[in-house]
Amino acid sequence: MPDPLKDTAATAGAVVEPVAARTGSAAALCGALLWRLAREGTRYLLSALLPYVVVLALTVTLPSLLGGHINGADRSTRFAVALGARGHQVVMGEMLLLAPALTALFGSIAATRMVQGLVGAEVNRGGFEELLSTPYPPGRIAAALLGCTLVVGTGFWAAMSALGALGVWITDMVTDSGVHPSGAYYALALVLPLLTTWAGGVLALAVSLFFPQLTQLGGGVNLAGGSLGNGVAVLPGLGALLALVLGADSLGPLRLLLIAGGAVAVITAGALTAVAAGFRPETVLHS
Amino acid sequence: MPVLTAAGLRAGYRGRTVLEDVDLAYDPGVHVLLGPNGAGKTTLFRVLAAVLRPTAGTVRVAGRDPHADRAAKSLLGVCAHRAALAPRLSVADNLRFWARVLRLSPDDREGRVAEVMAAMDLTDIRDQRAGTLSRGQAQRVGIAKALLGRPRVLLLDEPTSGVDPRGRARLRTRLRALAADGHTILTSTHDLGEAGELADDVTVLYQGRVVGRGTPSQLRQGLVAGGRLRVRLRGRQDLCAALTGLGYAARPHPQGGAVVEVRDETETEDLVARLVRAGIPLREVSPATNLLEDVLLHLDDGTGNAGA
Repeated sequence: MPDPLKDTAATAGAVVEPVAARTGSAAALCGALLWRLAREGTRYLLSALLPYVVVLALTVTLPSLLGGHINGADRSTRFAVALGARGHQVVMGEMLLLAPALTALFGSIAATRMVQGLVGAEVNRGGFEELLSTPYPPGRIAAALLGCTLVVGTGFWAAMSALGALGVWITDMVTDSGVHPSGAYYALALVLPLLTTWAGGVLALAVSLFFPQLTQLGGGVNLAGGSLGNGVAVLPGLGALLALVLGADSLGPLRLLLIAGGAVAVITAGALTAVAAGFRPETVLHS
Repeated sequence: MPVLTAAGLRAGYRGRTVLEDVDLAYDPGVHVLLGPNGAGKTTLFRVLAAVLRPTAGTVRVAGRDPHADRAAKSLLGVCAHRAALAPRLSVADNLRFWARVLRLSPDDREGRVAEVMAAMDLTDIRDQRAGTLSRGQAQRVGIAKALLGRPRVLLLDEPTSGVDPRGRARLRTRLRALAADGHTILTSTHDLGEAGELADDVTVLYQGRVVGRGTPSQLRQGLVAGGRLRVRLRGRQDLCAALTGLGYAARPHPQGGAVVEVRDETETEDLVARLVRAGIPLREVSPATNLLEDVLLHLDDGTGNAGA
């Protein structure tokens, strides 16, 4: 049987294979990172989706049990009536507003947590330094992290939107509310949470790369189970939730989408530009 | 021609210089970078690995500059101080992830992962989660990971730190075997005893500069036979001045107190008695047995390069 050490050395000590082909693209690195996330198991994904389902169910159920006087029930009722609801308007209105609002909030939280695991924990255990020692230029590493953040964020958004749509459908079936949402509502309910999830992820990435000490495990200031960096990244999701709950009735879906979605898109574009143009490995190493 | 060289290196972070005027040249073999915490070992590794760009000087790996020629980084295999493993993944999956990062072809990937696991004696624990590994096992996985890309140079930052003696011996055997097969291996440590076990060639780094280089025995030579004592006081009195006033040649110890050389036990007893009689509040008189401290003190004497 051949000696494995000899085998290893025979290839490692000899002439190295052409390296130009191995400098690596951002897509390749992004693919590797996604592969690892998938291998790390579904428990992580479930831990992001479960709170969303629990909060959505509780928020919709409680107002109906307590007479519709909490959680802005009057506003959501008016909103549901405007969309043609006939009965059980409170529950249906809550569901129509909170499904996208909670998708926006929990999507940004899930994306933030994913970035924390991808960058913060990696910096902590030295993996980021090893990544920098590979032939990938820092710009491509940042691009790969961005790509991974956007892909996983989109996955969270899709899963939560599907669960939210399921909740709306079940509520409609149970209450026979007769709601016929407009195209503008669908646009608001789908686009705003997606933009917010991306914003959360990209902001978290920007904070991780520019202020890594705020996101490393055990560092930063604890805020609702995360660090100060995570708290900042969740702000777009929180803003979207408040905008949906407080503004959907008065502004209407389309105007709300243009205002809130525009603001979130500007934040996302700013953070994207900062990460793409301003990432310096020294900042992470110095932390 | 040396495989790994550095000339006139200066590097640091945000305007703070950590390394100054570092020159190195290494042939295939196991080499150790020795220095106390904060000496600049990790920063030097980062510069050699082309992770941190130097503000002056050059690095060459097999004649190529990895800072300018990114493809040349494939010639380097790096294992950071903490092995950098994803704790929820198995040993094999951690290696598969890095094989993907390094863009090994799908045909080559599984074979190469199996090769490096066999080389680092990991086959039995291939399915074990990285988070449950001992420190020694994790370090071997880290080195296997560094070997994946078939590098010629391995940079291992404190690979034996926190590893039990049996694990260290196992790791040492593996590193020597890799060196015998043509790898150039540079590891770091702050323990001279460990440096002696790992390599025949030791470079001493102190306050960001190379202050000596030689074999462990050359570095030890004449350091401990002379009876070197470390004296510490209660309070903040200038101990060196007090000792000098009593006629002893004393100098500050790197970690507090002072170091005095004595010829024998009688002189030690005499030193203690005179200090007590002079009313100097003694806290501790102990043999200065830390070899690294002795090496640094010895080099600080101006004797400079211990050999080689």
